[in-house]
Amino acid sequence: MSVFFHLIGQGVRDLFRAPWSLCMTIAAITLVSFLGGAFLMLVHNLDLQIGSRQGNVQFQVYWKSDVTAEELKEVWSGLSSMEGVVNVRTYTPDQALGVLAESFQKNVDLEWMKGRSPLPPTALVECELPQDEGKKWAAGMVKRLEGLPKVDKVTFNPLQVDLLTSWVGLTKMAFWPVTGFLLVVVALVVGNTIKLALLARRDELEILRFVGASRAYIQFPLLVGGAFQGLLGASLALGLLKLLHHGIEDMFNVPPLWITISFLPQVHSLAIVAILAVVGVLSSLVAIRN
Amino acid sequence: MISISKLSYSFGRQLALKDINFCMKQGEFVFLCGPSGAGKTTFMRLLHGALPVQRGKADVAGYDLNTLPESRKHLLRRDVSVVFQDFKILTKQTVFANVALPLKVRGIGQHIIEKRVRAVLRSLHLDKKAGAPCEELSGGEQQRVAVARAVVVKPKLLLADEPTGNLDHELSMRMMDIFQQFHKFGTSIMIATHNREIMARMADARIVTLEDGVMREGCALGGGQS
Ligand SMILES: Nc1ncnc2c1ncn2[C@@H]1O[C@H](COP(=O)(O)OP(=O)(O)OP(=O)(O)O)[C@@H](O)[C@H]1O
Ligand SMILES: [Mg+2]
Repeated sequence: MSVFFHLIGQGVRDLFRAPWSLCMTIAAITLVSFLGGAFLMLVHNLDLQIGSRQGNVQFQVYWKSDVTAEELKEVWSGLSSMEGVVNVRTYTPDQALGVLAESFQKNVDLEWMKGRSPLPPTALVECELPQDEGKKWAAGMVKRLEGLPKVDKVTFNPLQVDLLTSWVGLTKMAFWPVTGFLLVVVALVVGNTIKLALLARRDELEILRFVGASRAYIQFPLLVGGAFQGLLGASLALGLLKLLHHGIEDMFNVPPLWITISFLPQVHSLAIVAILAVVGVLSSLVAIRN
Repeated sequence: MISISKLSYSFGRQLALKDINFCMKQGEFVFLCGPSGAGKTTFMRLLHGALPVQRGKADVAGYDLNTLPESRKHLLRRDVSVVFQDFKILTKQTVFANVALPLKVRGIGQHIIEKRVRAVLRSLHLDKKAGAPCEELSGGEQQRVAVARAVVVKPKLLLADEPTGNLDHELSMRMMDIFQQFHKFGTSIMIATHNREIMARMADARIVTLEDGVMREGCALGGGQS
């Protein structure tokens, strides 16, 4: 057991015998894993956004101006019981004017228009799109809303949803290739460092063999060295990511987005560290075998 | 201890060992002599698995070198210690660390290592240099470090390649005393040498000669004039 710990210590100490080579390797791993981590964070946040707006789509329903208050009242009360509707907000012409005035803030005074509002009665109907066939369903919904009495027109904005979804689709599609690519870079860098360490210590390793050291005794410290580089690089990268996150956390936390960027979940952070350690070990193995 | 038959070895097109048949019993003391370039070092490297068996059969310390995989060679090397012609010591490390190395790789406890290394260093007059880095030692001192490292594990078979090449008469004799001591305790020993004095010292030792890669019994070098 003490030999085991001795060899672990040996592996780490051996790395520090070539501090420059170690520094550059760690720097390379850190930068690469930082890139990977930032990408993961992007995917994660897009996912969160999509999740919170998952398929919810808003229909704007405008009524003809000749609709009476009674008719409106009846139709509006029935809106929320329609299939798929999760939220309904309604605006009489005056209320719509108020919202409009609010959006102009103090610059424009629309008080004088009260009671003579040119805006039609409006309802914002938020619906939950079913997972598949969302578009078809939305089109059907438009038909049904248009079928309501005295409805002038119905609009909804499928584009926004489509755009977000396709962004997420794109990043998801790019995820594995990009991750794979970055991991290969890490593997090459670590492998190369271990290879250099091997070359620099060839005589020493030969002597170890000649005095009866087992293969494990010789190779284990090298694998530890690889794992250590991966661990250290990943930890530094996570630190950098944390800094980055601190800087941009509230970047989009402004109207009308109200998006707070969240950090990688703990599982992802741990996975990054673990995966890099494993890649470090594997590439050292390859370097040793050749 | 060693059983070799029809062993040949060539570096590229140059044949360094030719059709060697050789047997060595346990507890035997053998001098391997021969002119420079005869193949002594090559023969010893084959015996501890540093070179592969190309042709013929070789069995050393109970290990069949024809089939011994790389992953098990360390077992052979734990029974067979080698004193290399070029020492192969870690020059940046201390005398003590070098001699302790074979014990360390066997997982032996620090306490025992300490005791055994000190004893061996004392017997080779190196105890005062124990803490010195090997690069600060003379050639003769480095050679003694190499010998100390080889004998500290009490090997079954000791192969020494010119172990007295850098030593004066007195130290050479001391070194032979040490070899003899280990021999008494049962270690089989093979020493490659040109040094007639040390061969004379061990009058009852067996002598074999390598010349141009061919081995035969007895010493043909100068017919034993010295
Ligand atoms: N690595 C090598 N590559 C090519 N040829 C080699 C190599 N090592 C040894 N030889 C050749 O093999 C022959 C035997 O060499 P070896 O070192 O075994 O001689 P030796 O008997 O130990 O000589 P010395 O007494 O000078 O140490 C020599 O002719 C040498 O040139
Ligand atoms: Mg030689």
